[in-house]
Amino acid sequence: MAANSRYINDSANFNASFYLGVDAIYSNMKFRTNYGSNIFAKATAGINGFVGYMFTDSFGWKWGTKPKRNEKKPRLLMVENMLQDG
Amino acid sequence: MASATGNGSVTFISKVQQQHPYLGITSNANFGDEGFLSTLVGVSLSHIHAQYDMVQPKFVMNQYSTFSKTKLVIMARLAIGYKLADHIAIRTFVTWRDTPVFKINSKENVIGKLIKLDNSFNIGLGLLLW
Repeated sequence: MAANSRYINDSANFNASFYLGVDAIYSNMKFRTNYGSNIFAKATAGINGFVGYMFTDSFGWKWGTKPKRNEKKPRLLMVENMLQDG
Repeated sequence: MASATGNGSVTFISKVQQQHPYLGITSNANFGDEGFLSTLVGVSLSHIHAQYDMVQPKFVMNQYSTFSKTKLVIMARLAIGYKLADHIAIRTFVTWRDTPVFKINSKENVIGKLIKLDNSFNIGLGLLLW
């Protein structure tokens, strides 16, 4: 690793490339037309935590998850078409 | 609370839960004095739980449906970061997940029998510590 690197994979920083963090996430997960799009909300927001390790200057692995389930508040809406049968 | 109307519309109360713990291979490249670009390709063990209640259905039938499934989903992420201090950086990213693999049948198997997801995209803003 480059001795003068100032970035997350800098071996002079925390334990040669371990890192962790937290993200605020806005998620856009749409349902297909007639298969839930008119019933369920497509957007949710949440928090994600992660840890990672760099094997080299440029490559590593990362693992992340939300600390708890992101539960969308119930929404109320009117629709004219229900879900199609499977 | 709205009720069923004469034109065939129905009122629903719905909610969606999702969870996407992931594991992936990441690569980084530096640019500028303090910036870095990061990509990630991996899989997430995605869990989707959706449910709805028909508040005042026009027809007399089961008013409650639940959909739940967990699958391995391919994902990719592109992030841009900026180093704020020696061990702190801020980053913003966009994530894509192959959620069209989700086709979930209702547990109750009544009115709405199947839901399908489209591609999902996340945007985020976060902190890196090392």
